[in-house]
Amino acid sequence: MGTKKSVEAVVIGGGVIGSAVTYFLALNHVEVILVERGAIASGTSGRCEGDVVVCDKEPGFDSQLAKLSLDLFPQVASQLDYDIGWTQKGSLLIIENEEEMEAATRFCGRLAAEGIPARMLDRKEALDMEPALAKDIVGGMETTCDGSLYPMGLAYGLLHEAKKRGARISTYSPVVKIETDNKTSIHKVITPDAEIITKNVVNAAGVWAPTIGKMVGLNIPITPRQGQMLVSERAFPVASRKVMEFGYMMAKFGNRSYVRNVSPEMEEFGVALVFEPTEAQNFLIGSSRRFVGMDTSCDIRVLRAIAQRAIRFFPAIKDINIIRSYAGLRPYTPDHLPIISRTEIPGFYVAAGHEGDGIGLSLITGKLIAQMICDQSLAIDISPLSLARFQGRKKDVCES
Amino acid sequence: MKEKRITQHPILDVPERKEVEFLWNGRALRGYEGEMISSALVANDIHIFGHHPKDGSPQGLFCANGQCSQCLVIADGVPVKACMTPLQSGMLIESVEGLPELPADDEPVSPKKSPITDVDVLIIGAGPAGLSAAIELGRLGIDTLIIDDKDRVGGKLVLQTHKFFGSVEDSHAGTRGFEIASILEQEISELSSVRIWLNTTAVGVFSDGIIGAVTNKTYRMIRHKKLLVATGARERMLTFPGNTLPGVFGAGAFQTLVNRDLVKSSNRVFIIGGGNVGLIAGYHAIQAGIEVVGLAEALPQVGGYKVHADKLRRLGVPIFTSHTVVEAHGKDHVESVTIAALDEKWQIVPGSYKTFEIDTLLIAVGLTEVNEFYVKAKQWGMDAYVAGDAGEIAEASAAMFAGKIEGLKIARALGKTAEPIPQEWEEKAEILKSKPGKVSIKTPPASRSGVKPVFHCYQEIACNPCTSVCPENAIRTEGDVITGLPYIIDEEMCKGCMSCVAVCPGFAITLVDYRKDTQLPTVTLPYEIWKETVEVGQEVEVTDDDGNPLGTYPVKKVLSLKKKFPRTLLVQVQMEPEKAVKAIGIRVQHAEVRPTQTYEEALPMDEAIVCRCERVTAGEIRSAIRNGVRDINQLKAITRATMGACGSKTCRPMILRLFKEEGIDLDQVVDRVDRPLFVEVPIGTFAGVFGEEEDEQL
Repeated sequence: MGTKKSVEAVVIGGGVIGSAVTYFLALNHVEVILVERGAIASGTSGRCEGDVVVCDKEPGFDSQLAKLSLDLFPQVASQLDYDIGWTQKGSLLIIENEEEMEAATRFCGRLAAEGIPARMLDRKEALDMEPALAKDIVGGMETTCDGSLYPMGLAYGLLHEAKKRGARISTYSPVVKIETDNKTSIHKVITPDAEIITKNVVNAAGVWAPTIGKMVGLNIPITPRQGQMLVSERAFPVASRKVMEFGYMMAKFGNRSYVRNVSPEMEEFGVALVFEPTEAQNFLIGSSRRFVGMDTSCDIRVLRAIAQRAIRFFPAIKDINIIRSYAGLRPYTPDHLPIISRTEIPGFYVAAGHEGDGIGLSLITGKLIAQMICDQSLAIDISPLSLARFQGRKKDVCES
Repeated sequence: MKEKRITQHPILDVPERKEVEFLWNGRALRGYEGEMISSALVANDIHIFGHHPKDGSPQGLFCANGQCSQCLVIADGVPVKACMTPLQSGMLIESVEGLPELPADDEPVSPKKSPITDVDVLIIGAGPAGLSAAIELGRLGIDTLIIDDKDRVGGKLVLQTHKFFGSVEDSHAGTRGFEIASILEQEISELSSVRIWLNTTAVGVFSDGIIGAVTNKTYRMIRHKKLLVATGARERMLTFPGNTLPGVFGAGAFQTLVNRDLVKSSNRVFIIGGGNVGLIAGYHAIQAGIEVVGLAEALPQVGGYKVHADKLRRLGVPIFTSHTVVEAHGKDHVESVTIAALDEKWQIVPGSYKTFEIDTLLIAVGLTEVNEFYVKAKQWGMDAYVAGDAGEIAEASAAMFAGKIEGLKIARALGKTAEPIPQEWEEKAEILKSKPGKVSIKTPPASRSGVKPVFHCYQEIACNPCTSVCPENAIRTEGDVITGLPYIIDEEMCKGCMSCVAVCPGFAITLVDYRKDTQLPTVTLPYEIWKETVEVGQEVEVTDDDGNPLGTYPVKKVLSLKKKFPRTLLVQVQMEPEKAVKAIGIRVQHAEVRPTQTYEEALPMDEAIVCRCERVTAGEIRSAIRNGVRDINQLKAITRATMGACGSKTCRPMILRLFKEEGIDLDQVVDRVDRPLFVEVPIGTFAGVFGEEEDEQL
């Protein structure tokens, strides 16, 4: 066995969630070690987009949580030494037909009632805003508060700041065992090189969170849901804000009888337009949703469907080169909400399962976990996020 | 326009080509139809193709090979690589200035089904390795498809005007590179089971194991049973301030401009790197009428063949060993280069700076395998093979042999032959890959009668053409091994036919003929530069092995062996016997270029660009390394290096070198994750909205 250390808290997972937890713990003067099996942001945080959006959240608790997190970004970004590429240019949901328009209008009204700056646009307004859009769209919904950033940079920036405040980071240190004191408290986190004695452990291992949970006998219902992306070269500016399609959200979360007019591949692979201009003056296009285990290889059929969907909404991008593809694994939970929670084992916390919202929800997650560990009052009632909500479900069936 | 074109060449034919007009930023220019846009621009003396949106730095041609993503221009509204896009009449070409405006385009599109082709064997790359493998496969009647991104077969063979080293029996030694390409092409054309698709770029391989390739905007899928990756190599770059100025490019890029496209890209070049590529590029420059100001090599001796270095020295090119490049200067184009001497510890010797005025700086500091297809295919569990530079950097002769071997291996794996790989093939392949061996200087023959071949061939390299051409069978190599030095078994056997002089790729054989005049014997010297400079009666400066002048002599006769070696001139002069046996070269560059200034300022080494796509400096990379970064993916996250359009093809080797310079063992460095696509592809092509419907065949 390696070196022995003693510390107040151990955070498992060096993605944006673990980084944010570590950052807020360090801000609260909690002595913390982050352990990561690979490099920082080498899992889902290094294979995603940099969304910080409210526009696609269910109005209510979901949108409030997202907004709380979003509102933390401007200040945190300005306090970090590292430029995380934070911009707040808003987002646009495009609407393909009248049926979507109706649903979107209702949805927008509910978001606005929550205090989210969302508004409907007619066709002309949407095209004025993003002239490269296909002329046959019907309208759009703009959410002005939405932002984006460079996800790997966020993890680096948060950890850089945390380190300045005494946090320690241990990469390439997979946790092999967690010893509990008869399941009443955490005793030890063991990696190949170290035994870390601690009272608090935060499981921020994303799609690997179930493995960590098992080490203490907890069932954490997180399933990897693969998404693939294409990266363009730096060429023409196409859109000035994040653009997504409303129809997919509608099919997914709202009216389940609604079927988009898309190809069988798009339907099969859950392909929906996500168009994200980056600070580096290129853009990312997604998205797809599939349950394929831990497979992060790209599939040409999926990628082509993504490219076709992007051209449908931005016909002029046909001649722009794509330079790369990648696939990441969203940590999916059955109710699409993250798990930000204490557990039946005192001192063992879960901060995982953010599916596609991990970047956006990272700061509020870090803040809430730090508040729990420091026994402070919480920024929001998080009972909908408890791990206990899944208890009693015998089998966590994945939707696809 | 004519002045930037090579209108005559000592070795290459200058074909008739159709002139067309095109517009460059609104200005009417002329070029040749079908030549690459980059060549047409350089021929018009245009070297700046745009400015980088990040820092406004001028961008231009760098690799001329479709790899580096630096030569982007807007052609008819579409961003394209200038070096891979043929010029058409009336094209509107614009430089890329910052971020251009998106053209209005709202045409509805419907994706088509992409063509899918099934083959037994897919070979990526129609260079020496790929073609040689295809010949083996074709002989066994195996269904084989070769794809290549260029418009002709041969890979880098087509850039080589010199006669090849290696083995006569196995790799066409003694024949010029571009002629070997034609021979291989001819052999393949006779094999009915082998198809070649040109202008077809392999762009990626995904988890389904199907190779994606693009031909003229059509995305094709090629399903295969066996894959041979014969994708060759790309050139390495060095980290020095000014390294991305237009006019600083790879030696291979230079050969492409000069030998393939017959563009006189430069007037005065300096070469960094004394391997075979750099030495040969220098020779090609002089053949193209371009002055070679000098060549610098960091090692105490050149790494390439001594005969290549000797050829350059004899023409009058100074070779600075133990010297490195420290900075390229210029505003919008390279104007001068500073080199400096290195001590035993690789540190710059104070006060040793030399600056030369030039218009082109060629970087020839080695090659890196283009192996991403192979690595990825293996990762996906495909039955993939690799041959040539894609597997191991070596001479083209070795690549041909490796191709043969891999071709047979594939045939065996397919169960199409039970023929084992001959043991001697493996042995020969190893010999052809071997680095140049020891040098032993021989004393010339003492007898002053008859006619004598004099071998100025002192270094053990794999080469044997001289042994194959002697009608008397009098020439052998020591120990009868291909790397042995040549000798004549009996001096009396030489009849003076000059075949050995003409065939020698190293220009390392002369004939000294005492039969007419024992006091002033006639020396026959091989010569492949401009014949105007060696006309009968003209005075030529004859040199010894090292390029030292032996004196000036009138040319007596200029011959050539018209049938076999028409382009190798055999220049005869009469010289004193003691000088005649030393004579080997004719100097063509007379005025040695002297350094124009001394240079003593502190060097801004950290300003050197490492990642050209994202304009990341050596300073930023070094600082990250010093802060503990040991993972290129992390380096990418922090600095954006490797994140650009080229997919780290240029900067990855430079980054690894910086790790080494910082004293980090490369075993500790986590390499980057390659994410296909490996080459840029227009979204419309990828999506299948451009190009042909599914109806097989090209």
